[in-house]
Amino acid sequence: MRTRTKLALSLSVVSLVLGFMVAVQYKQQAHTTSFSFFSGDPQQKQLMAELTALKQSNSNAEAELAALTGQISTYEQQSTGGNAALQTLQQKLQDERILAGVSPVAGPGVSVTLMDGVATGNNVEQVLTHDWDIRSVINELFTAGAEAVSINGYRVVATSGIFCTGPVVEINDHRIGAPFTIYAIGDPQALKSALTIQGGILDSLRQRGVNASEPQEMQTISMPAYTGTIMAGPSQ
Amino acid sequence: MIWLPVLGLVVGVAIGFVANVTIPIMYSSYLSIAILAALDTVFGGIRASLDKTFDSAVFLSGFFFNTLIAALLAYIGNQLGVDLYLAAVVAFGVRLFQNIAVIRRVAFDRAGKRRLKGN
Repeated sequence: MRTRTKLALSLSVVSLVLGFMVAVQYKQQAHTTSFSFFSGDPQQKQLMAELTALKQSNSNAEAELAALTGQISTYEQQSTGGNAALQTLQQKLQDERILAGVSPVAGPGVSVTLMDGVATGNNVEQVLTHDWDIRSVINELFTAGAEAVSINGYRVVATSGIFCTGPVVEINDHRIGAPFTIYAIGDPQALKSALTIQGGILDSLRQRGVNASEPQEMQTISMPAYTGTIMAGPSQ
Repeated sequence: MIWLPVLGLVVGVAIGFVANVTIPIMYSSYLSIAILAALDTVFGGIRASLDKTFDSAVFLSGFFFNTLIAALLAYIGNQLGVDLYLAAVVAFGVRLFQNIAVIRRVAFDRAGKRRLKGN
């Protein structure tokens, strides 16, 4: 009987300590996991606020830049006056700017939307819209004579990089996710047939499971200008 | 008398929740190893009592010693860059399962004997 008392007593002591440790650890664990979400951590909140403010001021600056560029081109047009040679030059400059992507442009064209497909099992990698898919579509459009192309509102210029950054795609240093709506200004029929040609880019995307919409001919598409810096060469 | 350990467990959990004790996150892995060691010792103790080889001095010293050594081992492993805590997890985990298996068998044995007696 004495051993049983001893057993019960020592087991009680031990289970008391064990219970205490388990409870502390449990509390700790719950605390740690709640960290990963946006909890009441003041530092995290402050950083989020700073980030939002920076993004806001960034987009304000971009809008201002676009307005100023518009003013410059109006002044340029005014300064040419009635001189025919200057007007031709001005027109050429305008065309080049459109091709370079540094001035806003409007015109007829096509739109196409790429969506991630629904994965059935292990083929997640296949049905996602990858950076190279977007590149292929854009190259196809440019080859077919597109004069201006934009992806989700970001103008594609000669120095635009389209590449994968984790789950999203980075275009002109902007991170965007699916669906990707691609607008292209140019001859709508030529652009559309370039995309829908049998065995063409959209066919191969659909075969893989990517949800690519039918290209839509549009009467007027207006595109913003490219607002980033254009750099030549590998200097960063 | 049998319910005393359960009561102890409940009281311990209650104290742990009520008391505002927090351990720095860097030490929380040591605590989890210590908990594993403690669990192992508890089940070892129950098994020993079923085998009628229970010794409270061995049990109590084993509990605290194992717990501390496990945490210490994990700490040393962390300093040396060797995942020694894995050794502790494996060793204690295997023993834990063995002890539980033995307890289960003994319990079944006893139930069987009781039934025989009843008949």
